[in-house]
Amino acid sequence: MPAAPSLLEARALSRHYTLSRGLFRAKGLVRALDGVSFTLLDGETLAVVGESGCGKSTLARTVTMIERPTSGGLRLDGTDVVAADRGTLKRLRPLVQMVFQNPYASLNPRKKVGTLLEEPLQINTELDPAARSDTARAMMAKVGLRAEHYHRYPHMFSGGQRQRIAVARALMLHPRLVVADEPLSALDVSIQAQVLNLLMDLQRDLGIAYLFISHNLQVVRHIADAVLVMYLGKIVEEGPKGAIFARPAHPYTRALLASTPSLGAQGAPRRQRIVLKGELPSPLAPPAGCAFHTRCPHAVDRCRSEVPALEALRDVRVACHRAAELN
Amino acid sequence: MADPIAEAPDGLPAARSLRADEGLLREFWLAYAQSRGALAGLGLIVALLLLALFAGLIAPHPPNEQYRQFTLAPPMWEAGGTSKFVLGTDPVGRDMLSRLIYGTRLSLLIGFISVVLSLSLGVVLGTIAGYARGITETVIMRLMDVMLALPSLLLAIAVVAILGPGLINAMYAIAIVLLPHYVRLTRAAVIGEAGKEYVQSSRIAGAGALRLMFNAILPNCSAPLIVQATLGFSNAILDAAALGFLGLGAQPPTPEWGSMLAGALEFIQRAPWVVTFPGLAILITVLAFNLMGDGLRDALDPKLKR
Amino acid sequence: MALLEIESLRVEFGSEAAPLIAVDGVDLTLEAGEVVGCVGESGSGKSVTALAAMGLVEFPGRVQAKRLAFGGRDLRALGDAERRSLVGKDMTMIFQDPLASLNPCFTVAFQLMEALRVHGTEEERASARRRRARAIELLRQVEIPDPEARLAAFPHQLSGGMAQRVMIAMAIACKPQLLIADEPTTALDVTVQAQVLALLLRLQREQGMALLLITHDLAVVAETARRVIVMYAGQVVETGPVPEIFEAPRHPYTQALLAALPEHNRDRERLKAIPGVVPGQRDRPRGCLLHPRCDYTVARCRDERPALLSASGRQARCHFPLDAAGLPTGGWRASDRLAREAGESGA
Repeated sequence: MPAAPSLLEARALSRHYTLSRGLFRAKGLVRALDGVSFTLLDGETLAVVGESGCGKSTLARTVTMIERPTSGGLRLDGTDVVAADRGTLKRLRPLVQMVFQNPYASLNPRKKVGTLLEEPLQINTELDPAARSDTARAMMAKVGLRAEHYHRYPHMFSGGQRQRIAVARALMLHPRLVVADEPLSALDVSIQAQVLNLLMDLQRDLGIAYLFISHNLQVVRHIADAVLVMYLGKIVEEGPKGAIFARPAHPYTRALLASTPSLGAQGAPRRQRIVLKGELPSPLAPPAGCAFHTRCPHAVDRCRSEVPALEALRDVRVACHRAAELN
Repeated sequence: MADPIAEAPDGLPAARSLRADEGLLREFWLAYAQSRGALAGLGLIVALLLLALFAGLIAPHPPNEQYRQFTLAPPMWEAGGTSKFVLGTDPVGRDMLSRLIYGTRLSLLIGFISVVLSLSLGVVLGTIAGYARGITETVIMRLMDVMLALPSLLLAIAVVAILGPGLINAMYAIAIVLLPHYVRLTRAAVIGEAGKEYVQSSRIAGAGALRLMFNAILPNCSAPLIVQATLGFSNAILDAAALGFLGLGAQPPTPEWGSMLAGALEFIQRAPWVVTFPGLAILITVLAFNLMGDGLRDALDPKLKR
Repeated sequence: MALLEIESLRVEFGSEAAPLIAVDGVDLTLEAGEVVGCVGESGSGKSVTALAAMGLVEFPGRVQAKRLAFGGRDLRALGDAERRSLVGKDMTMIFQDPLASLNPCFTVAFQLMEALRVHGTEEERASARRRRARAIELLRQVEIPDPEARLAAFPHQLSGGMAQRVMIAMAIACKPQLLIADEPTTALDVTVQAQVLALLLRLQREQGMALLLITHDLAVVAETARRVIVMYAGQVVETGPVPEIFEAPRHPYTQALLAALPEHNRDRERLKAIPGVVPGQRDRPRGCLLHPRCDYTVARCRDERPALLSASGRQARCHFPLDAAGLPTGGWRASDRLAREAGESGA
C-alpha cells in the first residue's frame, strides 16, 4: 500500500544570498541554508535547534513560502513548492502558518484583535462577515482570550496574551503545519509554561504538526518528537528526541547541551561544562571543510579540508568525520 | 480581571496605563494636550475655521464693496478712523476687516486642497516606491529629486505660467511643489515598516502586494504624514500668498491675503495698515499650523512620550 | 558593614495621585565579594532596583528609601560630582543589549579609554599611551582575541558576545567593588552565554568584586550565585542560599516558578504553569500580591499583606512559609483554601 505523502519534505534545500560589497569588490555569498534535507509527518513536532547564523530563520521563511529556495526540493503535502506557480502557492497557503518570536512586533498595532483574526479568512475564504466573526470568537475562546478582547488593540495586552492572539491567528485557516519561530523566547518564565501548554493542547486537539525553532533545549526536550541541530546553514545532527538528548553524537550538540544551564538533579548545580572557544564564524566567510572545526575540541586535519556528509549512526544522522570513533 | 499594563520589553512599565475602554484616540488626546503651545495652535485653528465658515455673518461689510468716500481710511484707533471700518480700508475703499475674514476662507481652502491633492498622490507614489524597491523606486525617487532640485517658488511660478494665473491653478502648482516631500517621507516610513514581523505575518496569511501596502503597512506610517500634512498647510498658505503677491494666484478682486499685500506695497509709508494686517493674518495662521504640527509630532512620536 | 545596603526602597513613576509602583519596599544587602542572583519576571522591579542604586532613575521616577548606602556612604546625600566619582568607578553596571549600550558613533578604543580618562589612575588620566595599553590589557582580560585590531572596531562590527565582553571590560576598567549585571546574557546565544558567564565568574574571583546578577533565568542563577533574591511585583518575596532555595523553597512563588520549568515536568505532558499574570497597576491586589495566582490562598492571604519573615538565614514574604516538604506551615489548612479567581490564561 503506498504510504501517504509526508506533510513536509525537504531535499537538499538551499537558500543563498548574494551581498554586494561595494562597486569594486566581488559579491559576497551567504549560504544561509545549505543542502538541508528532512521529513515531517502530520501531528509531529520537529524541533530546529541552533544559534545565530545557523539558518533557522531562513528555513522558517522558506517553509512558509515567503522566499523561494535557491536550489533543492520542498514538497508540501506532496505538492512541489519550488517550481509552483502563483495559483498553487495560493492554494497551499492555508496549509502552513507561522507564529513569530516577538509578540510585540508580530501583530499589526493599528488593527483590533477581531480584525487581525479575521484577516486570513477575508483573504482566503468566501465567508460572510458574520461567519468570520463567529469563527474568530470561537478561536479566541479556544486560546483562552475573553470575548471583550475582540475590540481591543494589541498594545493593551501583555506579551503572553499577544502570543495567544498570534497563535489564534495562525490557526484561523486550520493549517496542518505551524512554524513556531522561538515562540516563547520573549515571554516571562511563568508565561512560557502557559503558552507551551496551549501549543501542546492545540496540537493534541487539532492534530497540527510543528516546526518548532528554539534555542531553549529544556523546552525542546519537552515538546519535540525529533530534533534537527543546525550550524551555519547545515544539519549537523538529526534524530529522535530521546537519542539526541541521551547520547548526543556531534560535538556541537554536546556543547549545546552542556552549555544549557540547568538546575540539576538534587540541586547539584555546578557541572562540568564544555565551554566552546571562539565565536561563531561569519556566514560570509565560513571555514573550509567542516564548518565547526574552528571551535571543535576534537578537530583533526581531515576536518579542516573535507566537508562531512550527514550519515546514519545508530538511530541518528550525524555530519562528523569522527562520529563513530567518538561515540 | 482587568488587564495588566502592556509593558515595554525592557521591563520598565509604560508610563501610561490604559483602562479597558480607552481607545487610541483618547490616549492620543491626552498626549497632545500636554503641550500648551499645541493647544494654543489648535484653538487658533478652530477660531480660523469658525471665521471662515461664518464669514458671511461675522464680516461687517461685503468684501468687494467699494466705499469711494472712505478710501485709505485708517484703523479705528488712529486719528481719522471710524468705527465703521475697524481696521481701515484699502486704496479703493474696501473694508480691511471684511476682506481679511473672507480671506480666511480662501487661505484655508487653498491649504486644504493643495495638501489633500499632494498628500494623496504623494502617499501612493511613496508607498509603491517603498514597497517595490528596485527599478520602480529608483524611477520615482529620481523624478522627485529633480523636482526638489528646483527652488519651490520658481517651480510654482513655472507651473502657473503654463496653466495660467488663477486660484485653482495656484492650488495645483502648490500641490506639485509639496509632492516630493510626501513621497520621500512615505517611502522612508514604508521601508521602515515593511521589514517588520506583522507584515510577514500578513504575507503568510496570503495577503497580496496591494493589501500589504495599503491595508497593513500604510496605517502604521500615518504619524509622520499627519505631522507633515499639518506643516504642509502652512507651507501652502505661504506659497499661495507668494503667488498672489506676484499676481499669479488669486486675481483681483478676490480677497486673498497675498494679493492684498501685492496691491498695497506702494502705500507702505502712507497707509501701513493696508500691508500690516494681511501680513499679520498670514503670520498668525502659519504659526497656528506650525504649533499644531509640533504638538502632533510630540504626541504621535512614541520615543518622545513622557 | 555591608558593601551595598538598601532599606525600604520605593520607586514610583507617573502621577502622585495614582503612582505606578515599580519597587515597593525592597531591602537588599550585599557583602563585599559576594555573588548574588536577583531573579524575577517583568514587573518584578529587579532592574529598577539596580537602576535606583546606581542613581540612574530619571525624572519622572521618584526614589525613596530609608537607607541607600554604598561602602557606608549615603548615596542620596552625594552631590553630582561625588556620585560620578563613585558610580562608574566603584560601582558599575552592564546591561542586556550590549549593542544598544555601546555608542555606535565611537570606536571601542574611544569608549574604553573614556572610562579610563575619567576614572582611571593618575597616570592613566594623564597619558593616552597608558590608557591605550591598559585598554589592550583589559580586552585581553575579557578574552577577546587579537585585541589590538579590535580597538579600532565600531560596535556594529562586533558580534553580540564580543560587544558584551567590551562592556564588561569597560565595567571592570577601574577595578570596581561591585558589578551589577542586568540580564547580561539574555540576548546572547547559548554557547556564548556560557562563555560570558564563565568570564564574569572568573573576573569576580580574580578581582574580589561583588557581583549582583539580575536575570529571569533560574538555572543561570543556580549555576553562578551563592545567594538568591526572588522578586515579584516590586517586592522581595524570598531570599536564601543556593542550592537550598531551589531544593526546598520557602515561598509559594519560588516553588511555582520551579514547578513550571520544563525540566521539572519531564514525567508529564502539560507543564504545571502558574495561572494568571503579574498584577499591573490598576489591579494590584489587596493583601498578598501573589494571592490571585497562589495554590495555597486562604482568607488571610487575601486581606493582609505579609511581612518578610526571617528564619535561619532565609527570608520569605508569606503568612505560611513552606517547609522542607513543600507544604505551608503556620497553621495553614487545606480546607480553608479559597476558590481561585483567575483561569490559567489570565482571562
